[in-house]
Amino acid sequence: MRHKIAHIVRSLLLTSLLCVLMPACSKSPGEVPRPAPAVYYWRTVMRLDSTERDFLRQHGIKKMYVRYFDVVVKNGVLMPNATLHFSEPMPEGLEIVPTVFIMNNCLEADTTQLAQLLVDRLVQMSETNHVQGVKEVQVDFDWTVRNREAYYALLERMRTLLTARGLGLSATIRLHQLAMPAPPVDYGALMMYNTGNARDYTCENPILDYRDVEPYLKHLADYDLPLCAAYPDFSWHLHFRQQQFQGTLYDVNLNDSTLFYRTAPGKYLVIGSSDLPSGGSDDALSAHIRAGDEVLLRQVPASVIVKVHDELSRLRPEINRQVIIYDLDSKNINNYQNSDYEKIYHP
Amino acid sequence: MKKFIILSVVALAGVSAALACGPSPTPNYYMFSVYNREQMNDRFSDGFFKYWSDYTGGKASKWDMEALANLDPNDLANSNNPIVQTASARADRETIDYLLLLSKYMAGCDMLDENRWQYPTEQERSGALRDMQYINNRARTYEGTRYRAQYDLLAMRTYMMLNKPTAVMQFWETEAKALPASVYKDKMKNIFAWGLLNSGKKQEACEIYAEQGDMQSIKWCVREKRNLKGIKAEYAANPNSPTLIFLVQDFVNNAQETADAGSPEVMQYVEATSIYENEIRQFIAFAADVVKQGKTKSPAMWQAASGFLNYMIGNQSAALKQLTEAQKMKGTQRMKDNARACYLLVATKDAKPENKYYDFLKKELQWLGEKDKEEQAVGGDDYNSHYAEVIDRVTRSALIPQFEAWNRPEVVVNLKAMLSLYPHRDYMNKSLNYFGEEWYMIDDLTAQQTIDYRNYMNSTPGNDFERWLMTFIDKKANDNVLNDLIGTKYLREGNFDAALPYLKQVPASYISTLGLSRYMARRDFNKERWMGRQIVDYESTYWSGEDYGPKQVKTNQRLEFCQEMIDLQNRLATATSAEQQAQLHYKLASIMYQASYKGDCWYLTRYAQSAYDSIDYKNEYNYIAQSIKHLEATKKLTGDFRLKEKALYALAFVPHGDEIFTYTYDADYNAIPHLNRGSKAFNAMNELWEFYYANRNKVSKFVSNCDALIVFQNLKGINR
Repeated sequence: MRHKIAHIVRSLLLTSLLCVLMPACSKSPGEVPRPAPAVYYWRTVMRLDSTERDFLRQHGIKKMYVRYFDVVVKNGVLMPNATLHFSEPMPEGLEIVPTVFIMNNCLEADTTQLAQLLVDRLVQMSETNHVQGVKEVQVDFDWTVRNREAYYALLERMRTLLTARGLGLSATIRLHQLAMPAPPVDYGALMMYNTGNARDYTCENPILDYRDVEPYLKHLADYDLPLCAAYPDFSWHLHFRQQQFQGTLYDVNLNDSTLFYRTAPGKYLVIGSSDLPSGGSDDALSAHIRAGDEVLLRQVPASVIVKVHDELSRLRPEINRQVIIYDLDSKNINNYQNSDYEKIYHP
Repeated sequence: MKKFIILSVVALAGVSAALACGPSPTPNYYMFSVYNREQMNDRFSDGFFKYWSDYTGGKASKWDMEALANLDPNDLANSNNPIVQTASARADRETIDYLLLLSKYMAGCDMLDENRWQYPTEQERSGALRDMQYINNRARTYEGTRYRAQYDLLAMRTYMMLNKPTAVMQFWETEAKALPASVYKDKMKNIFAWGLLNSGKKQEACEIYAEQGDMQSIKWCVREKRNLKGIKAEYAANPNSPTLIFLVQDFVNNAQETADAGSPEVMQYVEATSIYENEIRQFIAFAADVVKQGKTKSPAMWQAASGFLNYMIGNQSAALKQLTEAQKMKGTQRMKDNARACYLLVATKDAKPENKYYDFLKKELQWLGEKDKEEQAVGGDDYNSHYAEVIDRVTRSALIPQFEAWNRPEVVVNLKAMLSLYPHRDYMNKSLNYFGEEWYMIDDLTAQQTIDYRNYMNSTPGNDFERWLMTFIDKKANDNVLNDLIGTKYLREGNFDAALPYLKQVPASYISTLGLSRYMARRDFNKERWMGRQIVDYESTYWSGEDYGPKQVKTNQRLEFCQEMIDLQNRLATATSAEQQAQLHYKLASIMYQASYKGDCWYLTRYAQSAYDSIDYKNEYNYIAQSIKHLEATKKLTGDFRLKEKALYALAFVPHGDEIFTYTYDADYNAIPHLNRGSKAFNAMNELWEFYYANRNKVSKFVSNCDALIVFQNLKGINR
């Protein structure tokens, strides 16, 4: 009898415990605040052309994540770099999310003051340039296990400072980071690009390949942070020498028959040496191509983006309530049809 | 195995440091250069600084000039800036006024700098812009003459900061243009180009950038014209456009680099050669038209470009003719000098080893040396002159292969010595040394070739060129170097009797100057390598601040090793008992292994070591194979248990040219060892194992604890 009573007591205790635990288990991580069709703006001068303005109108864009500046290490000290120059006012009717990109090696430097410097600067840039209605800021940093603690501590400090100013905080999340505990922010923007290795000559689609995405999707449903998704509209011209990655080329004219010879779809052999505009740091604005080098054109088929988008919706239905396109640039916008954008903005 | 693994890691740690010291890739400098590029080297800043340096009698540094931005106008008396101190001491009110305005301008620029942490508030920004306007007004109303150019420059700079391109252009036209030539006026013209560029007058802006040699700006300006089509369009618009100088130079340099870079396989893949060569041929035809039309003020440049491109596509005689003509045509001195420098390279092709050619070489290389000195004097300490690059390119791509083909290694050594020293690096001493270019060459020679080289250096060649080349080597300073080199090479070749007289002449004091003395001072070739490594560079010492330079040695180990080898070989030849022979074989095996490239005492036979070493010198004696031979003899001859044990252990240790273990990898990339049963290394280890198995209670600890043997035993057990 005593055993029976003990069993009942144990059962009751267990049931009570389950009652306490169940809501926690089934608790949704919640949603992104003010979800809306969105874009990233990642240039160094704020000036929109007619194609870009049309894009905003046509797809009912309501939010723009604007890169304000990068943080880099210069002479061992953290410094802002490539600060956005406000050549014209921000477009009206958009919520602007000031965004800062932090270079990978920055957290190895002294970051004691970094949170304060970042928050002050992001807020001041908005004030000086009359950017109205800012409700949050976003941080873009590719953290790893090695620097996760330092990064999360930085986010904690930023969050405290921002909360005191009534502002929220979000962060970009890369696929590999889904396997780690979520960062201390209000929500994450899951980057569905740069999924492969652009430096790998054999990687056919480093921008977005479902095969690269798939292994990480098992973490998606349980990831303990509200998420939205960011999809690419850009393409890459990757420069290789003897199959070794040299860099990304910008404004390259692959139809110049004195420099390039098309050897296969998306693959060009360099037949004359020249300097070309390049991405990368300010110190290396031009890339030198030599005869024998190759330029590989990488672009994601629209069908792949749609497939990934649909798969994400299946696994985590609310994730696509806010879709961000990276990035708003007329050079990239024309890589896809309007109908392609609509399939992911307004499916 | 653990012991062996750990040792491998230590060896590799040393290698990573050593690799950085290896020869660097051969540069392929451009031959064609019509810009005075020494004048582009930070020219504005250098010019501004010169004024303040002169003003302060050389007390001001560039940093002091830049620090004027932090000047406190209310505390000039306490400023420690030598520029301010000099002006204050002279009570030079006019200079102080200018400095204050300049300082205000620099502080305003700092405030408007968008890449600083303290992003300006709207008030700060408008304040800084107001300051700019104030400075502009003050600068424009300056009534003096002494700082006229500086104030005008301030006016144009502030217009630029206020983003007023029209005002910049007007100021240039009405005020600045008439000023006498100076670095300030040059800078103003550069800002004028900014005004043009921002007013949609790109072509005119580009011409100024080209005229001023502002490479970054010009590259950006003409980025869409960097091909023959662009050159033709530019010429049609203005046959004397300064941008043509850049575009023509760029075309020729890119053609040269295309030829340098394009491997035959790649070029064969498509008709790239014909595509590119076709454009070169079209350029040559176009250049001929340009010269014929007579509209250009620089036919020398066009003719030289055509000549050099003709050389590239194999038209040797046309190339020589045009490059000769170009030197007499109209154009800048730089253009004519460029034609002469290109002519040298072209003329080396098909040349014959005769005095006429040697005289020509000496004359032209000496001329290039003089040109280099001139350019270097303007360019400054950190500047690499074009003419030094021409000497490099001609020597590497033409002269060295040519003298190699003529079987003149001694001239090649001296050409490389010239590259180390000439033309403006004469602060280096003229002895053959490890850091010189020639070292890699002389290190590759055999002992006999090195003796031949020494004899050559003591002779008087029959032509001026070779005699001149000899001046790059100080013969007297090289007695020790050459004795040591010849002796060491004989050791490397296993010719101990021949090595002895040379090594006897090398004092320990000379060895103490070599980098390898660091190892020689701390290692002993009498210790058996298989019983433990003699570590010199512990990983921890890399960070300890320890001096990695040469160390004092008391004796020359090379000589001692040589004497020991002769002695041991003699004793072995006369030894009668098997046990005595076995002892001598073992000793020989041990010291020979230490002297091999795998041994701790590699410095006995070489000057450097890396993990990539092998038997790679001509006539090199195979010390490892000899060591194995002596170990095998020891094993067979000895009846002494301990000696046999050591010989078997050593045989299991030394490399046999094949691997005892092969590896596969599991899903987590963990290496899984397997026994390579057909290998010599397997047989050696197996023999040691059999010995161990038969004598488990008697073997020494170095056998019973040998981790490689334990791994072997485990694998053998598993695989049985």
